[in-house]
Amino acid sequence: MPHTRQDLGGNALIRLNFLVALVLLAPLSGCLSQHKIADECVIQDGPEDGTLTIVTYNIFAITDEVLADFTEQTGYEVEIKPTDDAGGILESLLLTQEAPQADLALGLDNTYLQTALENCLLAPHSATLPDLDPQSLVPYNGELAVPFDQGYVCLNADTEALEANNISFPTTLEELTGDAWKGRTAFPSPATSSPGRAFMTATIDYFEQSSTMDAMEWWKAMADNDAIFTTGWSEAYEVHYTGGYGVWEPGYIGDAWLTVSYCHSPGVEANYGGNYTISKAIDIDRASFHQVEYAAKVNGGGSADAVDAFIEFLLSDEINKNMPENNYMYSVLEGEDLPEENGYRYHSPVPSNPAEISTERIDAEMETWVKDWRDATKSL
Amino acid sequence: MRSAVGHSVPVAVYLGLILIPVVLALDRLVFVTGSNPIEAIFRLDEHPLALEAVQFTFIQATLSALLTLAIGLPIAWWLGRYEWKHIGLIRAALTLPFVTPTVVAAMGFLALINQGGILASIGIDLRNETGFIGSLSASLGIENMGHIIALLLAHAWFNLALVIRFVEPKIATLPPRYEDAFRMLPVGTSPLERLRRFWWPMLRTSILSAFVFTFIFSFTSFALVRWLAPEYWTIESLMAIEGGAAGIPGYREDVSLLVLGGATLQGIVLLMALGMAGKWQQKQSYEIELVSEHYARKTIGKPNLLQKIGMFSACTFALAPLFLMTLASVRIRDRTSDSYRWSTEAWRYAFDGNLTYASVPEALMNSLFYAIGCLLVACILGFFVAQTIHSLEERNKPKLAQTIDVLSMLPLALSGVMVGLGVLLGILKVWPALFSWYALPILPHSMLTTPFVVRILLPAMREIDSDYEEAGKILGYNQYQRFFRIKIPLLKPHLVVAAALSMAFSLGEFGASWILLRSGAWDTLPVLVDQLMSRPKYFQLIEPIAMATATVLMCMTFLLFVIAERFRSHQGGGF
Repeated sequence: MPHTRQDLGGNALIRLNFLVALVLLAPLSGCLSQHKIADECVIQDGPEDGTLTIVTYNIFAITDEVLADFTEQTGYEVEIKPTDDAGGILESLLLTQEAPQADLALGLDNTYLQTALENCLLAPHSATLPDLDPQSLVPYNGELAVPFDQGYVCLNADTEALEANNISFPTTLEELTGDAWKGRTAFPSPATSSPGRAFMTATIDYFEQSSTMDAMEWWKAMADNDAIFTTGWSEAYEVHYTGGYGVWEPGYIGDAWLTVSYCHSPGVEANYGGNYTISKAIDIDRASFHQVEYAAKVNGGGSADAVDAFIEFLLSDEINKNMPENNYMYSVLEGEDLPEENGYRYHSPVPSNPAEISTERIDAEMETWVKDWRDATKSL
Repeated sequence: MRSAVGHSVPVAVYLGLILIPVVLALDRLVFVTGSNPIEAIFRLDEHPLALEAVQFTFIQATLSALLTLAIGLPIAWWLGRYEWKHIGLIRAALTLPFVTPTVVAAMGFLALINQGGILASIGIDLRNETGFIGSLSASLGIENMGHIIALLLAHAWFNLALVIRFVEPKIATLPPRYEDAFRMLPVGTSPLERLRRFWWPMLRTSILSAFVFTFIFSFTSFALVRWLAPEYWTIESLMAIEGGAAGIPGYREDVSLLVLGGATLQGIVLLMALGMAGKWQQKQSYEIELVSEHYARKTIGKPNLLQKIGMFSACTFALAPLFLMTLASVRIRDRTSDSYRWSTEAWRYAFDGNLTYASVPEALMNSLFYAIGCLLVACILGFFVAQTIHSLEERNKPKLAQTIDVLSMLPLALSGVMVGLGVLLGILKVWPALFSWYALPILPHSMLTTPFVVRILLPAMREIDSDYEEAGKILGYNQYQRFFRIKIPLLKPHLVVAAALSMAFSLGEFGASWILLRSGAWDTLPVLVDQLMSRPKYFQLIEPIAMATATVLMCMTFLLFVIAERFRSHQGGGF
């Protein structure tokens, strides 16, 4: 009997399935490579190749112009390896630990730093540092990471929307589980967003210190109250929040009167809006988180002199004093504050009593918290 | 060219490039999770959103493919049947969405459906779901119905070119005498019967192929889902958002399990779909004789007013999001007065590069370098893979031919996270210094575009009459002379199309599908757009600068398509 096209197709599919099985089963053949995380840190130096490779996320203060200035001043060329966010930097360092691909990690924050330290991903620097704001040294004060900017993550609310709907400004997190807030809050996920992670961490402390409710019970109650959960800060702030610049953005939905951002976000809004903003930061005890971002030499990375030069450049007056305008974050230099112009300072309250939770505890429990958060909210 | 070595080396190189990263990624994920790939599929329910994502992926991909056919088939029909002025431009316009970077497409689409946008102004509020859409959502009991409709429309917009590319050439080159003969039969008098008994059998393979490819691209959709239907997840979007943590021992093992199970499930579904499409395409090439499209069109004549309006609407649908995107590059919001003004300020910023790691001219040069590199690698590899498949078919080894055919399309079935992880692990093992190599992006770009080159060249090779080869032998040409003097000239139009398409895809490719392979030294235009769009947009020029950058990218892509259209032969169907 001659082959028909149907026969051909059927046999080809069997062959195809066989190939799929081959690819799928290949890893089961037993030739698995060994992976081990070291118990003690051995500091290693990579080669000096005259080029400084920086793994970072999209840090706004670091532009083509700034990098060109650095090269002109020091003679070191810079290569940037961008990731999505602070978590992306940690993941990139962990994945390439056996053959480090960067000399400097720029943008790890204090919710990720301890994990990097525990995994021996960082090495001591030799940069000469200026006087730093003591607050910036509270989460970590050592030679393995240098703070370069800081800020407080807290809830922001749309004052106009609250007034129009006759809702008072919240003074506790528990209030947000009430009917008045049903479907009107937006939170970035702690699994995929740095501000989301910082705020979730703050809620752990808040509910341990000042409430009979458990943090995850509150998150579940928020989910039951139709809170909106997003993967990133941008989606919560630009798409859902009614009090920010998102109202001019394509894709704006505007269904949330409250979201997680920085306590100085209303200040940034005012700075670009001619001293006008309808957004206001909410200062609730223990419901804000002091976030510090770090520059750190990568263990196994090279170009040690260039790393030190970049850290010094980053902490120079020229760059660090301009963090509020160029990076929408506070400077870490002692005595520096937000500018007064356009109400930037006025609309940026400093929380009176932020959450207090150690980096060691964050490292030890974060994975469990994120898992519990997911179970509580049924979100990513 | 027919020697076994000549065939096997390029095929082995190409398949090695594809399979090695996959095996390495699987090896690492199996080690981290302690599960085999099949087991990982059954453990997907351990992730809170995975099962929901699987369900939504299948539903939206099927609906998207059906909607794309519903919109695309009438357009392909009109385009294939009638004599159109400037048909090259029309085709380029309708194809442009397909090579638009998805992040740009999402922005354009958002501008279309936005509050105050064109659709909302005529009562179709897909974003905020008020009015008719809100009522529809409430009556059907489906949450965020408007967002789902927007996503399906965007997928239809994006994949419209696939339906046209597959179906239109078949309609345009079918000998008119066939239809005339069928009309003479008793059943041929009814248009419905003609559709059922004549056109459907004639076009079935093309339509089904278009359906499958649209299904595949919708199945693996990421950026459009994230922007247009943020409450929903596809397997790909879930893996792309979470996947950065995959493959790290002792860290977020839930993510590794998700990626292993999700990528395996996705790979199996897409390989089966590609296998079917490959079989149909092979079948199609032997089915019927074809005539010159010019001859066929002349027989039918010029389009009437209704058809012209239909085609104009289709082109408007294809270009509107891109036009709105261009407009957004010169429309600047004034925060202090809550109004907008017109200015080219954003273009100056874009060309100066004050807010990014690179300026538009620098990124354009990078993009062009990678595009040319991709063109060379993808066209050479694609040519030899197609040549191998064709030779095996001619030598009566259809099963092996089809196996290689399907494997050549494997990159389309792989999750970006899997390939990214695999390439990363592969390079780390073999040659870490390669990470700093400026030309590295050519590798993933070529892997992604080679399947398209194969799809363009293979039908063309099948169409070349073997008499030419015999004539060459009679003239005393050796195999190299026959290759350069006969085969290459005959394939020249298809090679030009393949080259233009490779460049266009390379220009449009951006890091999202290569999560682990980004680097600032590789700042291309799409990466620049992504970099700008992911910044907080307190400063009112950020978004217009991103749109200006995207406009430059779009113009480059459009130019390549117009070039490709001048050379494209419209026979046989395919890309």
